[in-house]
Amino acid sequence: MSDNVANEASDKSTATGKNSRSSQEALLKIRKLTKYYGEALAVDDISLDIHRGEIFALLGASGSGKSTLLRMLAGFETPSSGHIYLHDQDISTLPANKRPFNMMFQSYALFPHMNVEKNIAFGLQQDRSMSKPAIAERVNEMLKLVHMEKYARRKPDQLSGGQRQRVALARALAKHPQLLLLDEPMGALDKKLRTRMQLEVVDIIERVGVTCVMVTHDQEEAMTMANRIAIMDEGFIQQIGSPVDVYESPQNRMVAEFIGSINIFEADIVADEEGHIILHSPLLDRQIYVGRGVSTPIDEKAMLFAIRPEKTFLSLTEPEDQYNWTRGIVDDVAYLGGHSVYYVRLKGGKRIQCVLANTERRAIRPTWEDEVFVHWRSDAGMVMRP
Amino acid sequence: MSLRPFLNRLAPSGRFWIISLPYLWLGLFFLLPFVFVLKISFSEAELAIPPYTPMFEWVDSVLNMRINLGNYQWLLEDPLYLQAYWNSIRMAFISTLLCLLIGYPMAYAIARAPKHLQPAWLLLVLLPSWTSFLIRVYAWMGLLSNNGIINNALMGLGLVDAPLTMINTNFAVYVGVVYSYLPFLVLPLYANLVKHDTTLLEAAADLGASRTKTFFTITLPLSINGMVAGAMLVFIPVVGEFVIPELLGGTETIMIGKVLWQEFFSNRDWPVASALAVIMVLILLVPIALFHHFQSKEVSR
Repeated sequence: MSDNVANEASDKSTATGKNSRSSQEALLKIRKLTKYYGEALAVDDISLDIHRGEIFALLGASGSGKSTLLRMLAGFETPSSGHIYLHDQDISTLPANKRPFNMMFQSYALFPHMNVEKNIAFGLQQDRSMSKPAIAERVNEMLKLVHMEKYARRKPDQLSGGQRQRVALARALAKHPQLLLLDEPMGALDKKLRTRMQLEVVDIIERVGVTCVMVTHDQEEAMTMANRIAIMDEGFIQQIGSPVDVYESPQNRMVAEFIGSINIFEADIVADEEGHIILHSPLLDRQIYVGRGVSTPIDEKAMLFAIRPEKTFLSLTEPEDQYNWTRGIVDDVAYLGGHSVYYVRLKGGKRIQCVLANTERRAIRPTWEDEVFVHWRSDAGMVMRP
Repeated sequence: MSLRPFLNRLAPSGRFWIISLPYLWLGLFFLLPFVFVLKISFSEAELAIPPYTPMFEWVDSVLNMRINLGNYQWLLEDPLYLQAYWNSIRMAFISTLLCLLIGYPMAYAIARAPKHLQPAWLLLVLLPSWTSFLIRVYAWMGLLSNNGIINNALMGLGLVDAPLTMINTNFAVYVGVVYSYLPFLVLPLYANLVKHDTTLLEAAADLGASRTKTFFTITLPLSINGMVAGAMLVFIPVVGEFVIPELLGGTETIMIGKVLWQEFFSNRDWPVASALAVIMVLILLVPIALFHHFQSKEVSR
């Protein structure tokens, strides 16, 4: 079933402008890449392609191996086994200073004794064939690109966080890298600035047209900036897909729980027909009707039914439908302005989350200890193998 | 009731006392002795106890104050003293350079060594200075003398026919000075280098710089404060060094510390010795000010 939906979702996302600039041509091929630190396995047999022109995010919690993978791409770590191919040329053992990749570091790593101009020029000066006027011209071009012309003579410690990030980005882009690496690009910024810079950085990257691999632990950041996301856990990739894919069609429980909030129920298959299946969960009052065919293993009846909080509805009256609702008591309400999160206690004691958009001012809504009915549409949930 | 804030304003705050402590220390142990020396430098030598004329005399209800500038005139006229100053500064400068050349790689290697090994390496640098300075300089006499270990070994191996003259030369003084003062350079430099952000080195490599290029464009400029701090800790005391030139140097080694000692103890000319000391302090004020400048920059980082 999940493959089914994944296709449907990616069809949708290619129609949007975000994906259009990336081709399917692989710029970088990672094959069976593995990294051990002593006994500890950091990256476990990863194979994936980075397409030319895309922004690819490695998303995972700390210790998931995403940073190690990025450092191997940059050339700061040598793989224990496996290969990295750039245009079908093996670069796995090429030292960092010979790779046509540039990185924007989490701490920006601007050289504190050089001004903005000199920081940006540093990479260009390593190229002996470049003349001084050519370097100066390129530096100016970069300053203009990131809107930092006025600050060319400032030292890094005289700049704000956002300005430092722009300089770091300009420095990383100055050499026309074939691949731009971003390590937790917004990690050092406060929340408000983060949202602004995410869009600004994507805008600059797209204008330059460089292929980009970024590492982040912030799912919002990955969803905002990337065309494709790889979700990493314990050294390997759980799922690769567009932001819509990973959110709407997670392949397993780990991915579903990592991205956003989700309510998950253990459920048994009652009927499995072409075009729909019916599940039964002991926690829910009514059976679950999923209006899609799902390829299920014949001998296994136990599945997981998952539904996102914003895809549920709350009502004070009992729905008339035969399927897809359950009774509960409002345990807690978090009013967040734009929407409210309801924590509803079901009869087994399980708490589920429901999100209600606050589209009306001061409407009458369910409150603490109210008996409510949670219902959902037949295409709102997902069925996963446990 | 309204008197209290007024009194509070008059009484120094806690901050005043904390700031005044180091000044009190400097006043008591630096300024006061310096004033004494300055006073002696303006007097004349005399066969008495103490062996100089008093500055103030009370004769027939008249307070006489005698300021004798003859000692300074004497120092400027006799090329021996100017030569001694010049030699001291030159030797201190060359020794500092040698210390930097030897000490920088040491400090760098320790700062880049695995974290758990660093204390051990630092201990090895410091360990010799836990024994008496004098004994260590004497040990060098034993090593460098004509009949010493080095010459005996060289002759035993048949590398030289006659013993090399090392003791009582400037060479021996350099060896002694560099050996004795190396830890003073290594420590501040290590303290600077160990604080460097290693991602800067990764950034430089990422931008295409080789390791050598990275060292000269990133590490070296960023360690300049540590270098200056360490260099001053060598340069300043070496200018006035007495023990090492006395024990290891020869007749060619005329350093101000040695001359001062001779004036003080052999000639018992305290006023001239004091004038020598005053001029030395004045000369050293420049590097001391430099040292302070870089030290405070280093601390504020």
